[in-house]
Amino acid sequence: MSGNFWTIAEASAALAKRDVSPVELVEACLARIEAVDAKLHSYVLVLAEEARAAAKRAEADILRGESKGPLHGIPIALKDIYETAGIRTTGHSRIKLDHVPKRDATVTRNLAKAGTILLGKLATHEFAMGGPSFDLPFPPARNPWNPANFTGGSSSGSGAAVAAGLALGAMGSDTGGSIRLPASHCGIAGIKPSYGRVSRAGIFPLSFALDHAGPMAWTARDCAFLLQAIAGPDPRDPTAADLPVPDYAAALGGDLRGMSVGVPRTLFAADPALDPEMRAAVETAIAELGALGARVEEVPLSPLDDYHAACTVILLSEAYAVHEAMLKARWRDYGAIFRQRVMSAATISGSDYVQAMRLRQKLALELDAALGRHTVLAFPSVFAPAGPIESVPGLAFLEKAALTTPANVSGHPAMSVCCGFSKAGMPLGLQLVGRRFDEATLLKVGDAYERATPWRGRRPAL
Amino acid sequence: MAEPVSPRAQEAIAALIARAFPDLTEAERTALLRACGLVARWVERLPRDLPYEDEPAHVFVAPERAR
Repeated sequence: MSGNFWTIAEASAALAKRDVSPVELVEACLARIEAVDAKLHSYVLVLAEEARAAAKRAEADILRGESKGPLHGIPIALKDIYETAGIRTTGHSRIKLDHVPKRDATVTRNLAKAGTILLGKLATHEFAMGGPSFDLPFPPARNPWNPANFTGGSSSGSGAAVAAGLALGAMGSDTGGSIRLPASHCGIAGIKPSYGRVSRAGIFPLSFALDHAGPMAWTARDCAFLLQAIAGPDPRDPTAADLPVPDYAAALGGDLRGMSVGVPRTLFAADPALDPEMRAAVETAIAELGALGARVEEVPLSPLDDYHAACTVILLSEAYAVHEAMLKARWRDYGAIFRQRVMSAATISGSDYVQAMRLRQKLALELDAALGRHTVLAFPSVFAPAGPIESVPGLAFLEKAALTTPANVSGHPAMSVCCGFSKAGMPLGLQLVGRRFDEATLLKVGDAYERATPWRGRRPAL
Repeated sequence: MAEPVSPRAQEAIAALIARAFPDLTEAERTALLRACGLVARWVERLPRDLPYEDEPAHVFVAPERAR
């Protein structure tokens, strides 16, 4: 533990030794929310009394020797697109302001089964797209490293809350980068698992073909604990693959000897948008992976714009299909950025969508081939560290290709880990992309990097 | 990728917007036209000459087959 901050691994070990109780962990998080969240707006709903009651139950269970495992008694929070039975789930939108689901999302239920304690619901960009927006029922989340700055999105509250120690872990969702972008900008770890690894049942959809649910936490190790609880098949989601789920925490440790790291510099190295500090930090991080024993080689890929074109056309088409009726009925209840972005899909034809899906397959097979030669790919999570929240263009995703979209298009697992800080004190992110359904190796690489570097010792000074 | 689309494409987009969302204000129509112009640039990038066998579903219907 460092100051007010616990990792899940530290808290879990302390709970097992009864050095701390779930009640103390929950009270520490609630106190911190009370102290700093007025600046960050990471929560849209805090469930203080419910969390206290759940913590007392967990404490009693643990004292009776009835532990549910490493997450029992760990306080977490959910992006407000995860349905929670009896608890308002808004999607950060006026459209769903009074929506109280009757049943939990499968991930919500699985986390509860694992013994986690739900602290509340977290800010997101409206329905996990667009933003930051200032015309929604809740303000946008702000970056704990500098509250004047953007968190990245759309899992904006998840990134801010974990970085600031307002939850030990959180759930995000990732359709074009929405776990990895806030993980990078907020200096935490976040993993978008393989398409099919985690059920999306009960999570507000944005794009059926590209949506992924996944954990965000301070470290790769903490992500491993959370992923363990949520991975696996689900009768409620036919895309959730019926494949074995390995023991992710057991796979961690050791160095990277025998592994190969592919570096697709064609995606980023010549791009004028690449910030010099990001470039230097990522190149240093890649060298560190080499120092840990991995062989490092260049790997050529198609232009980033190809991946982004497929992602944009599929994402917008499907988001339009999801929201079409509501857009026409309640046009002005949506935020302006969401309206502009989703309605722009009205000009995409059926043929465009099919061609994007066909391009997707080509690109997915290209990444499969690259990952046949390499254990992981390594490149920046984002082109530049977070800047002022007020100056983020509303249509940024349409203006410039994002480095996160290749793994959404292909369905491969991808994560962001913190790889340093800019001179202005903003976090920098290294993206790692792994083989299909091999999250265990991806987490092992992320964990090895985090243990070899000093970045996990630094927390935001709020 | 942020350059505006051609005036002809803009006219076509404006017509589509007017048909899909007839009640927009002028400011909303202008903002949406800009977004549509950006989307059109990505659509233009899609290949139109892929061979027949590049059917889109294989990778995602049975992901384990692609391993």
